[in-house]
Amino acid sequence: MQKKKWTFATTAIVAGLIALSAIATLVIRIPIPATTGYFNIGDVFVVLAGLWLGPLAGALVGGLGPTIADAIGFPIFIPATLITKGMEGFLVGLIASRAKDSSLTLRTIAAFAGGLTIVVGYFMFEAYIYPAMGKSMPAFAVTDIGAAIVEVFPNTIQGVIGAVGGLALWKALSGYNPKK
Amino acid sequence: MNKHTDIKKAMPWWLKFLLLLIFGLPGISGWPTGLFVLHLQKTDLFTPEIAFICVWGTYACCVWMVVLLSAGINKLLTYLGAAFTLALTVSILGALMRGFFPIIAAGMSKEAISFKLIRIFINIIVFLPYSVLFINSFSAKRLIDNVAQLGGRYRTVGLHLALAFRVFQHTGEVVFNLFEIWTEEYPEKILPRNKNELGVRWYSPVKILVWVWGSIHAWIFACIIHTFEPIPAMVEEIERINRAQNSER
Repeated sequence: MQKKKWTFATTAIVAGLIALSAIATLVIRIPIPATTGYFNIGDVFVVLAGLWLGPLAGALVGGLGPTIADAIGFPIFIPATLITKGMEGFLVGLIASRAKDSSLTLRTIAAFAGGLTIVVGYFMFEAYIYPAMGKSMPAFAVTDIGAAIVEVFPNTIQGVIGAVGGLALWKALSGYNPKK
Repeated sequence: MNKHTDIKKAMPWWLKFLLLLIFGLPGISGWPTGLFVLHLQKTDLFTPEIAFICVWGTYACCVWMVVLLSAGINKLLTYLGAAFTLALTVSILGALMRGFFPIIAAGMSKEAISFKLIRIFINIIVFLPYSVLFINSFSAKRLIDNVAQLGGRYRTVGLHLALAFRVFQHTGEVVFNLFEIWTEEYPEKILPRNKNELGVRWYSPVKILVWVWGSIHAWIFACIIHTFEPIPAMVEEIERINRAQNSER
């Protein structure tokens, strides 16, 4: 596992990916009334960040980009998104950083593990954490276990699109060096 | 109406940050707008839905007024154009998907779902212009100049944050510019190419999917290319500032 040095170029790319993940999350949104959540394609950039720049960058892009998008229209999901998508980016980066050279097998596993993280993460938040929080803070009482089950299917599609799109973008962009 | 205060130069940055944060609080926390909605409901003159629309409509007007005064009419119209398009897209997609996949509504009444979509619509048209105003209220150049005066590790960390902020600001501009350019020069990316054929051939709706995929694909790549294009120059400039300050000390 090779450790990459964090440079100004890394910061610039991470900031660009945070902004792009926020925009991608904003542009295509399909609301799911049962949970007050929504389907989006922002995970493409979260997976890309993890594959390309490692766990820290993945966690930053996953934690900040989609969370900014949630603030516009779906603020109640900010805590769930911050933790779930941050974990998604971190996990993708952690697994992918063990891949040798341009090997695709481990990166594919990493990307789909990221997809699985959002399915499990949102389910936990919607089925257990939000209903528990809703007892003391009524604003969070927007979901229950039934609604969480409904959202498993759209979240699975979202995870698969994020994994496939992230891998495709990684193949296209991994040779990019902002210092050239 | 094109005369406006340059908010980047107005008041100290910390005061501006604080004021903008307080001003945006209702968008994130729902406070104190939620209290006003409850108060209106108690008067028995308004249903919960109308009370919500009245309070949030008033807040939206306040946000737009601040954007108008600090960014000018052209920027306000650009932001509103993007916000309304986004809000309409979300609402229409939500309504369509509810029809195709009733399970996502999980037994909720049509009225309850419609009200949820209205809430989302209002939240987007309020919070999108506010977010863009927030980001564009601070000068990245001035931030970099100030951070460059700091010493040691603080300067390096500060330069990283200033660079991130600059890239973020640039990406926001890219998206709005792309939106304007495509609306005027490439309307086929916004309007379905086969819109005249929809009722003619039975398979025409399938072509909508091809158009949707082509447009998403083009948008994503255009955004990536225009976001990353100036990054080498930005990085070079920050590295030069960092090197210059290091050699001076």
